[in-house]
Amino acid sequence: MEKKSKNYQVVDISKFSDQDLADAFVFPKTTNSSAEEKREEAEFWSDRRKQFENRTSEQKIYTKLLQLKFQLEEYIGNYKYEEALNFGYFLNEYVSRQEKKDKQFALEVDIKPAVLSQYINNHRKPTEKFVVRLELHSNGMIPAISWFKLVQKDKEHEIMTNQDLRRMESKHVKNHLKLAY
Amino acid sequence: MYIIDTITGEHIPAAVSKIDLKEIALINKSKRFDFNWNAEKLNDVYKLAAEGISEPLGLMSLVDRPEDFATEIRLIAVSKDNKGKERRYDRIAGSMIAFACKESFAAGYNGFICLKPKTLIKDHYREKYNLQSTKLFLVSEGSNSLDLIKAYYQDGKEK
Repeated sequence: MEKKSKNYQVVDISKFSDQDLADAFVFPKTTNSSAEEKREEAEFWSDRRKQFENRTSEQKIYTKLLQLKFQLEEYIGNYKYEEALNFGYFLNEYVSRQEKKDKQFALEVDIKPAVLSQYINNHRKPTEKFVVRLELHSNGMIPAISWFKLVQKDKEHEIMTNQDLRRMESKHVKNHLKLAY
Repeated sequence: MYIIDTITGEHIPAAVSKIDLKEIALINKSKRFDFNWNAEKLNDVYKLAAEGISEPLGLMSLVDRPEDFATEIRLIAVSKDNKGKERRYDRIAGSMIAFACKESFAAGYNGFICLKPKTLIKDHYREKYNLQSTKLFLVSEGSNSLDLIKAYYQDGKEK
């Protein structure tokens, strides 16, 4: 049995094979770091910072796009709705993170710049064709279904909260159920 | 994301979510996991839960290191009844590592994750997750982190 440290209830590693331990745990060494280890650790983090900062422009764009992909997926995967994180926001991010002008991007996906602007400003609902073009443009990095779910999330919020629409439509509804619900 | 029931071979949808201090204390009290998880309260602690199974199957402590553009995995443990050869469910630790990769991408670190393992099981981590080895740390980033995400978040049951 390993020596028990103040911070950890240490596992009795002698009961398990190395493979079983690797399948079950990630845990750091419990002994205090030596001066040599502390130096190596500082060196590791310093190298990491240098490596990250010295990326090429292309690598930086790629990292930003991957960040957007995972932020988008996280957002559509949870129930919380945030007005600012709508389709237009993510589309605008997708274009600007590539350091492209709207006009250039519109050309690349064969739509008019005015239409792109309407999408970005949420004045027009994107078509299926357009979200498929976005998937193709990203070479599959951001699938059409992710863009579609984003549109759907905006729509769900709209339909749940649109009181004006309810007022307008109420004049078309007669003899509604009197049962309490 | 799914785990595998080693008895039936069934794929069970699973999800990783953050837990608060209250839940950490409760889980710690249950003694279903090794280590003192109360000591991880200053970090972000996550649990892996699977559909139809009431208790969490895995715990993970992450440290966000924005100044180093990295997500550090401090600690991972599967529940006591799921370790060793008699374990009921598989893919728990791997799923949590893949989740850490996702968090790292979403933070803008290009999927850079690292962990400081015990020396004796370093080779197994390296082999199982294709991690790169430095003197002290094991590291994954970029395409390897994407591969880990693809390996553990697939089959249309993503969460």
